[in-house]
This record gives sequence, C-alpha cells and structure tokens, in this order.
Amino acid sequence: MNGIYLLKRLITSFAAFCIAVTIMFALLRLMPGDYITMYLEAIYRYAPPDVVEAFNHVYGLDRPILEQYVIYLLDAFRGNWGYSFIYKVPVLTVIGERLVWTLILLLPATILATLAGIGIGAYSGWRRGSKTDIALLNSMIIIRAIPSYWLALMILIIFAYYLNLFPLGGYVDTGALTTGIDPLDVANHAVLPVLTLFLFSVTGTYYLMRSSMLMTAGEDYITTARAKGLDELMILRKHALKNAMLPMVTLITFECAGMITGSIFVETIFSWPGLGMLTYKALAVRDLPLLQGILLIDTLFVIAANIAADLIYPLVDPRVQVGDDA
Amino acid sequence: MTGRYIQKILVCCAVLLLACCVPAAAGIPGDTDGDTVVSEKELATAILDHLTAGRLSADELSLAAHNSLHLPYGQLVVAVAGDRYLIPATSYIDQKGVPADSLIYEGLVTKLRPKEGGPKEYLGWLAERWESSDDAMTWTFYLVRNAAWHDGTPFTSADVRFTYEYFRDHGNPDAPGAGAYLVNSAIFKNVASVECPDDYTVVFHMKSCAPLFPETLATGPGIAVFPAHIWRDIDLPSTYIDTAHIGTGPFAYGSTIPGTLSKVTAYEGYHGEKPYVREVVTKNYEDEDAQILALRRGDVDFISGEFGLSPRKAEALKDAPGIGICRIPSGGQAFEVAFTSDVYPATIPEFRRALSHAVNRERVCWLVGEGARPTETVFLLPALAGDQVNPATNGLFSYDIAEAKRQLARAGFNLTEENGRPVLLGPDGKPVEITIPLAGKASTNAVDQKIVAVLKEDWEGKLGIRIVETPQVDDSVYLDWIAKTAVHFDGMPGRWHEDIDRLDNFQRSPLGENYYHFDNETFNGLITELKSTADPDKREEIGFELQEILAEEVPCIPVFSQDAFMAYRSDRFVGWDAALLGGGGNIRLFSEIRPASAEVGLRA
Amino acid sequence: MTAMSDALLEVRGLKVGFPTPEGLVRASDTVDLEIYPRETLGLIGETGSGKTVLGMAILRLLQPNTIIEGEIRYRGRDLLSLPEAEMQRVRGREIGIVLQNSGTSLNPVYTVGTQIAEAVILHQGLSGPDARQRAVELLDAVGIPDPVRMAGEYPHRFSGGMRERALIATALACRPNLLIADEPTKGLDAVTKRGIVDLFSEIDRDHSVLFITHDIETAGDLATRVAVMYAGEIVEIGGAEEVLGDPAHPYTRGLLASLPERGMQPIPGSAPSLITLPSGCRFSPRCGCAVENCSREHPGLVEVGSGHYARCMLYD
Repeated sequence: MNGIYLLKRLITSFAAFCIAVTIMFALLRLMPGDYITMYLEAIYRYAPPDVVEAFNHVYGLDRPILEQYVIYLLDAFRGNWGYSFIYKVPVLTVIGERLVWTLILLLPATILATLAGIGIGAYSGWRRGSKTDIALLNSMIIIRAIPSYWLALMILIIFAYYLNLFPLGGYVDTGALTTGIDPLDVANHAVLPVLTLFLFSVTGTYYLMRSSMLMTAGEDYITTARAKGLDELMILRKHALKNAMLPMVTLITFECAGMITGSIFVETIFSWPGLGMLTYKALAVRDLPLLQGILLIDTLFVIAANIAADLIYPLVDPRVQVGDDA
Repeated sequence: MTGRYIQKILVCCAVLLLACCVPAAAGIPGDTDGDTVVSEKELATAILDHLTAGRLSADELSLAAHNSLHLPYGQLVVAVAGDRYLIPATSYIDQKGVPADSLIYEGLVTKLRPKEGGPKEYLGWLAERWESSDDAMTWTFYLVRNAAWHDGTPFTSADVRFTYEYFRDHGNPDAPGAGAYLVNSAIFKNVASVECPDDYTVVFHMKSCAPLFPETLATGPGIAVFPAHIWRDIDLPSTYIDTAHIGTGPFAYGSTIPGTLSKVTAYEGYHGEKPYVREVVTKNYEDEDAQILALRRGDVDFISGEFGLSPRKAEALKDAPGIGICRIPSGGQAFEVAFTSDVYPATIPEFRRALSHAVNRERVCWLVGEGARPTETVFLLPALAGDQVNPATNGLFSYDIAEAKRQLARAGFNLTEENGRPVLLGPDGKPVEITIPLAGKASTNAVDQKIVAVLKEDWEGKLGIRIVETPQVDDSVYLDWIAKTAVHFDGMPGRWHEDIDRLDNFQRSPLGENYYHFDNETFNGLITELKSTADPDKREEIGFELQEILAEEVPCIPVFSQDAFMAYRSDRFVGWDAALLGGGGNIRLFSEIRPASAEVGLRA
Repeated sequence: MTAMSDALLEVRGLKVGFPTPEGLVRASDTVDLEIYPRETLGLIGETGSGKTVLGMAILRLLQPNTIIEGEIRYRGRDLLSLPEAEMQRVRGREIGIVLQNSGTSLNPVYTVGTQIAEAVILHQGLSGPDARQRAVELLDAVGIPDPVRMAGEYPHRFSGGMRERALIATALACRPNLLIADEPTKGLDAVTKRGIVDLFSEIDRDHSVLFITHDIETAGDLATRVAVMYAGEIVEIGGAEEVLGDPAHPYTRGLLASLPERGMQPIPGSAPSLITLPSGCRFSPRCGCAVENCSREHPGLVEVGSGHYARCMLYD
C-alpha cells in the first residue's frame, strides 16, 4: 500500500461521487410529479398557480436546468445542502439528528448480527449435515420467510405489550422531558428494535458464512492442517474461519454502508426517528432538498465503504496487494 | 378497658359499613354528584372521609382539592402519528400559521364545528368581539384585555399589526432570504392596512369588500398572532430556529425531545378559562397499531390515528376496560365520484346526471364498512356545514337505474345488447368506454377499488358502459391521469365540505382551471358574488343557488363520508366527548378535560 | 503373500467405499500391502485407480461418511480403531503426508514458515522462535533458496516446485517414520520434476516412503518396491526391478508400453467406473490376453517370483 495508490483511489472516488451526484440530480428531476405541486397539496387541494410560481422562484426551480445543476454541484461541495421543505431546517441538521438515532439501533444490531451470523454460520457450515446444522438452517429459513413488518409487530406485542418488559416505542420515557435523556433509558427502548433488526440481518450473514464455510471446509489446505495432526477446533478456528471470512469483508463493509439507510419497518413500528423514516417521508412529499441530502450521504457512505473494503482486504488476505498493480 | 376497645372496633366497623354503602364514586374523586366539579361541600366531605375513614387516599384528596380550586393537576399524554405533529425545536410559523393542536398559539378568532343542521359558530380567541363596516371594507376587532405572552409581556394590538406587517414584508418570493415565502401570507392578501387606535382595538382596512374576513382568519385552523417583541428582529424567518415558542394560549411550551416527545404546561396567566390538566405531553407513535397498544397499556391517554382511527380498530377498543370511544360524524374523509367535465363522455351533462342515479351508496358503505355513511347532498355535508346545506337538493342523486336510463336516452345514448350483455352506444354510435384510474387520494384502505366494484355492477351490468380500470397509478402522475379520464374517485378531508365558500372548488377562476375542469358561467359569477357579499341572508340564498346548479350539472357525485374515531382513557380523565365533538383544531381542546384519577398526578 | 511382523505399516483387506446417490463407489477393494522400515514403496496407477484414497485412508483423512473396512496396522496398532485424539498424534508426528495439488494445499493466509512451525509446535512442543528456526532449517533442507526470507512469505509468492518443497518440509517437520507422498511431481515441468525427484533421493533417510504416482519412471527411480493399482485393487506388487523390469500383469505391461520411449502405445479402452465394476478380472475388458474365463472368475494375487505377486488368470 502506498501514498500514490491512496491518492489515485481518492481521485477515482471523487469522480465516482461526482457521477453519482449528477445521476442523482438527473433522476430526481426525471421522477414523475411536480415537487411543488405535491408539496403544496398538503396545504391546498389545488395549489393556486401564483403560489406554485412563487415557490419555484424561491427554490430556484424556474431557472435553466444547467444553471440549477451548476448551483447544485457547487452547493453539494460547499456543504450547503439547503433547507428541508417539511422540516424547515438545514438538511444536514435533520440528517445528522436522525443519523445518530439510526446508528444507535443499527450499530449494535449489525455488530451482533455479524458476529452471531459468522459464528453460527461457520459452525453450521463446518458441521454440515449434522442435526445442529439442519436445525440452525431451518430456523434461519423460517426467520427469513417471516414478513418483516409482521415480525416487528409480533415482537412489539409479545415483549412490550403482553410481557410488559419493554416500552412500546420512542427512544425515551416521558420523564426525559424534565430530567433529560438518560442513556440507560435509551438502551431500554432500543432493546426490541435492535432485536428485530438483529433477526432481520443475522440470516443473511449466516447464509453467506455457511456457504463460504462449506467451500472452505473442502479446501486442500484444511486436509493439510488435519494431516499435521491439528484437532478439529484448531483447524476451524485457525485455518477455516479466517479463509471463510474473506468473502464476508465485502458484505460487512456494505452492510455498514447500508446501515445509514435505516429500516422503515422497524422505525415505524417502534416509533424510532431514524433515517429510514425520514427517507420515506421525504420521498412521499417530494422534499427535494432533503432527498438530495439523504442520497448524497448514502453515496458518501458507499464510497467510503468501498475504500474501507479495499484497505481491509490486504490486511486479511495476503494475496491481495493494494498498490502493487494499481 | 376491654369495653372501650370493643366500642372502638364497633365504631370502625360501622364507619366501614357506611363507607361501603356510599355508592362508589364515578369519575373524579370526591365528586359525588357526577357533575365533574368538586364543590366546596363535596371537598369538605372528601376531606372528612379521608381523615376519618381513609376512604380517599391523600393523592385522591389532592386531586379533589385541585379540581375544587380549579388548579391544574396531572399529566395528559396524547399520542400523535408522525413527528410533524410534535412541537419541534424549530419554527414552523412560516409554514402553517397556527400549528394545529399546538395549544400554544392563538389567533384572533376560530371557527367551531356547527351542530348538525345548525348555524356556523365562531369563537373569539384574542378578539373578544368584532364588527365590520356595512360595505365590509373595514373590520374592527376588540381584543381581550388581560392576555399576556408566556414570557409575561402584555399582549396588545401592536402584536396583531406586527403579525400582518411581518407576513406582508416576508411573505413574497422576492423577500430577502430564499425560502421565506409564507404560505399564510395569502390570508392577508386583501388587507390594505392595519391601524391600532388603542392597545386593545385593531382595525383592518381591506382592499376590496371582505364579508368573510373572520372566516379567512379562522380557516384551518387560523392564523396565529406573533409576539412582536420576539419576531421584530428576525429577518429570515425561514432560517430562524425558535426554541421558546412564546404564545398566548392556554398552554406554554415546556420542552421537546426531537422526534419523539414534547410537552406543554398549563399557563397560569391565561386570559381565558384555565386548563384542568397541568401538563400535556405529546408522544409520537408512527404506527397506528402501536398507538392502540400504548392506549391499552395506559402509556397514553388519547389516540386518534393520523386521520382518526379506522372503524374496525375503534370497534375492537370499545369494550376494553377504562377506554372510551368518541365518534365524530363525518370527521374523516368524504368520497366522491368526480368527473373531468371536458373529457368525453363526461362532457355531456345528461351523462353525468344519469350516473348520479347509478351509484348504489348503501352497497358501497356496506363494502367499506362501519363508519361510512351515505351522502344525501350534492356536496356539503350536513354534519359539517350545518344550515348551509340546501334541503331542496337533498336526495336528488338517489339510486334509480330506470331514471339513469331515461337520462341517457334523452341525451342520445342507445342501450343495446350484444351476446346477451348490455352495450351502451354513445350519440356517435360507438360503444361507450370509460377509464378509471385507481390510487390517488381515494385509495386509502382500497376504497377506490370497493367503489369501482359496486359501480361495475350497475354501470357495466345494467347501463352497458364498459369500464377499464387502470392499474394502481402512482401519486405523482395521478393528476395527469385524471385530466385525461372522464371519471375518477376522490377522497378529501371533511373540511372541504363544510362551507359554501368551499364551493369555489368548482369555479373556473381567472387563475385557471379547477379540479373538475368544470366551467359554468352562472356558477362562476355566483362565486364571485358570494365572495363580496356580507349580508347573511343574501349569502344563504347564493349558497342555495350554487347547490342547485351543482345538482343540475353534477360535476361530481358524493358517495359517502366517513366518521372519525378517537379513543381515550375514560378511567383517568373525564369530559372527552364534549371537548372532542366541540371542534377540531381548537387549541382549547384539552382545556376542558379533567383528571379523574390520582395516578395522572403521580406520573407528572 | 506372507505377513511379516517387521513391517512398519501393514494394510489388510482394506475396503473403502463412498456412498453417492448413484451407488457405492468402491475406491479401494481388499487391498493388502506392507511398508518396511526405510524402504520406498512406489504405488502406481492411473488417475481414479484408488491410490490417493489408499494414502488418505491410512491417515483417516477421508470424509466422515466414507465406509472403511479392514485393518491398517502401524507398528502393530490398528489405526482404524484408534480414538480421534490418538490419531491426531499419529498424523504429522508418526506419519507425514504430502497431499496432491500442492497449489492449494498451503493455507493462503499464513506464511509458509508459520504453517511449518505449526506442526513443530504441536508435536515437539517447541517455542515459537525455535519452531520458526526449525522451519527455516527445513526449508533449507528441501532446497529453498534464501529460506529465512521465504519462511516469512505467503504461499502465493512460491512457485509450483517451491510449494511442493514447502509441503515436503511440512510433512517432514516432525521427523515421521513414514512419509506418504501423493503425486508430488504432478503438474510440474520436467526440470522442476527432476529437482523434486532428486530431493526425495537426497533427503537423509530414517523414514519409509509411500510414493504415490502415475509416473512409472519416477517410481522406478525412487522405489525399492512397487505396487500397481487398477480399479481399486492391487494387481501387481514386488521389487521395483522385478515389476518394472519383468512385469507379470498385462496391465503393468500395458503401462510400460505406453511410455514415450517405449513406443507410446496406450492401453485401449478406459478404466471402469468404480460403481459398476466388470465381473471377473476388472482389467479383462481392456486386456489383450484375456481368455473366456477372465470375465467370469475374479483372480487372486499369485506369486510369480520371489516376493513378486500378480493378479492374473495367466498364472493360476
């Protein structure tokens, strides 16, 4: 790995960002429906033409498309992402606020799901065909097959309503209005949504890890290790796991990037004000600046995940040499 | 010694026995006659009961005393569906004027829900009374004298003038600061100037005759008066982040936890009737099912879904212990079959009139379910518009297939048969076929599909009109679709059907086409006349006439309206039904609700 | 064929079968052989004749659902009935194996030194640095240039021949008594192949070698005795000079005749499926000398010379 490579990578990432931003600009403007009309419909039934015109003027939508594009591009880089139509605050403020709450759910859920998925997936694949493997595989298929909305609701009804173990929604108790936000209280509110998200994402990691392990278990170097007299656990831990993990790097980095998109179902059912909900609402009312902001953030995360995957690979797989041939 | 003990025990038993004989108090502790007020006598009795028999706990006694002295007590938790119904840490004054149910801001005047068949009613908020000159060119508002802003600054007529000026200066697209366009500035469009003869009198001089100025101020739910001393220095309302929310309403802003909770507290210095609850907490539940669970578990005291609970869910809650249901007639959406009057065959009035007799409302309502009531009127709903509904037009769109056939024949349509199925030939001799786009505002709970299923039986099966349903059309292109198709369905909130002024929906105005592409010269003229008519009798006359034209021309066929349902904890608070039926959008909504259980005091 | 008590390894009546949806694959059928101390036994056969399976079966490296019958006695102990923990002590320490496919037999994510040291640490209890040192010595011993540096390199930096040498070093790391080398010259170019063969003849010899190959010449160069396998059976076994110099079995003769320097005449036909074996002599459908009886009776091993046995009707 060297500086020149990193520089090259940054330049290509920058180019990718510019292209993504341009495509986004084009797509959002190609999307059917008139933003202003849709937005104003919430207030008027049939928005008066003069109001529509005024809005177009204020938001610069009456300018030539090329000029809009240039302004948009410059603003995107300047960090001036405009004001949300619906929330009336800078787009970055809204996104930042929601991102925190999204990460509070998704970070633990993703970490747990990844660890558990890798752990049980590896075991399942290593002991292919055993009763444990069959039992694990079938339960994962069942979890996967449950519609997410229904699963979330069931978890809410059982654990919060009937068993009365957890709050029904939100991220703090009403007491927080007087005493401020207590991290323990937040943690208590986060348990069920994290559990639900965990169940959603553990199956994917499990499947991939299991099949990766199935492939690895048949590799010759595993036989070599066995021929050396290593016991099964050591072979699994030392030789199989590390190799089977290699394809997981991509999955994990992209799952991390995908995290910020949040989960609409979980956020809706558990009334958790995250980015998933925000995206959905922004899309529903065509909140153009907010949508653009969310998509830009998404793009940045995906690009960052790409770079991260590139940088992590050589650390785990010596065959991949960053910079040598780049 | 022993004797005295026995005596004591006997007394205790007697007291206990007596206590058991007293009927268990319903509602507020100490309120034995059930009038939701603890009178002095009742309070004294309650104190005695507490002291001698311990029948009322100290907390319950405290609640009784608060009620008796009219001191705010306890915490009311209200569920909302969506974070935009919370009081945000930022300002949205520039968008909506008075935030609905904010409880914080007041306007000059608001409108109440009329009694069914009764007259329109206004309620003064910051205005005690108001009057107009005979030509309706000048409106004078006499303000309440004891109002003060939540920070203690007295409220005066200067605040009202400031509000007008602020909208005037910032409410145009070229004002400094992009995004500063204030939707509500339209409300003051017709105002030429505002004058304050004294601290408690405001005079609005209008640009043209404005007989309905109070109505304009009060509509949906009305425009708030801003505190001049705070907003005076704010040049860019679109970027100003308000954290104090200083208003004059019955509740003052407390605190917010973004995206999930906000709180208002009873304002001691309120100029009107002080609230009985000390705090109102608004809690966001995005999902309606989660709201219902929260109500059942007692996490919240009031739920209303986003547009009222669905009838089925309200029905399921009916027998839950400690939960009450309030049904608001026509409080939900109203659905109509709408014509696009410049698309064949909807261009032919007889065709529209014929179809108005071919809508089986009873059957649609049966399909849609409980809470749907068939409409008898041509547009306005009696439950909302009161005495403005023209009784002569009621029942004109009755279900009568024979009449529908007669109308069609009169217009030159020809009903024939082909392979044993009826086929309607148009005046041009070609089979009549109409396309109905689905989705749009009527697609909530697939109402549009239910209507089309019923219409098909009659329109296709009996009148021979071939119906082509389009697959679900995306919201964003729905408007384009309906402009190209003769018939579609629409669902709209009840408030569109509450006033004759709303009939301007059908006017082809100088600004352009209306939703129905309906263009009737007499109608257009009458709407213009209505807008400049102050005399109530004359207005009623015009309103009736407008409805007669609608009955004749049929730009749309109302089908049914839905009642709205709300649910509340009747074991904790009393006075719900009166408050909820009193009118939506009233910021005094929760002022009349009284705590009935000491537990609401403990959680505060 | 007499059992000799001084054999290092004795295989008796070994049957190996893989259950598949198509039927049982009889990869090894009633194999008897013994390996004596310090000798090199060359096991020759075409691809699919069951020679690799035999080598793997000795160390019990076949997949768990394999059906194995018979006895494999190593120094008098039956390896097939040994508990797994005991077996792990045999692997690497008593018997080393160089697997086929040197390209994929080294773990790509560890350095070669680490992989050699691993066995040393496990069996000889050496500390990390000592094991490392031993790995370097071993690499040096198998002829890897600059062994100190190469010990720290990952397998993908090694050429095919070097990987083979590294694998041999791994197998020899704990000085086993028996080294099983499965096709160590497969896929290598002529020069590299020569180097590996030389290495085998050079490394100092305290141990026996089971040299599995399809390459008769290599076997001739290295082996003291030779066994020829066909369709899961040993068809000929004996001293290298006898078997290769004066082959008794028509199959062995055919193999020799197919060598380039002997005219390159391939044996007609192809090896039978191990699921549906021909009746009688398994080679009879391809055999030029087959008589009527060959396809009816299954011949046993018959002594054709001193310690030289062949499975053929011709000698009945």
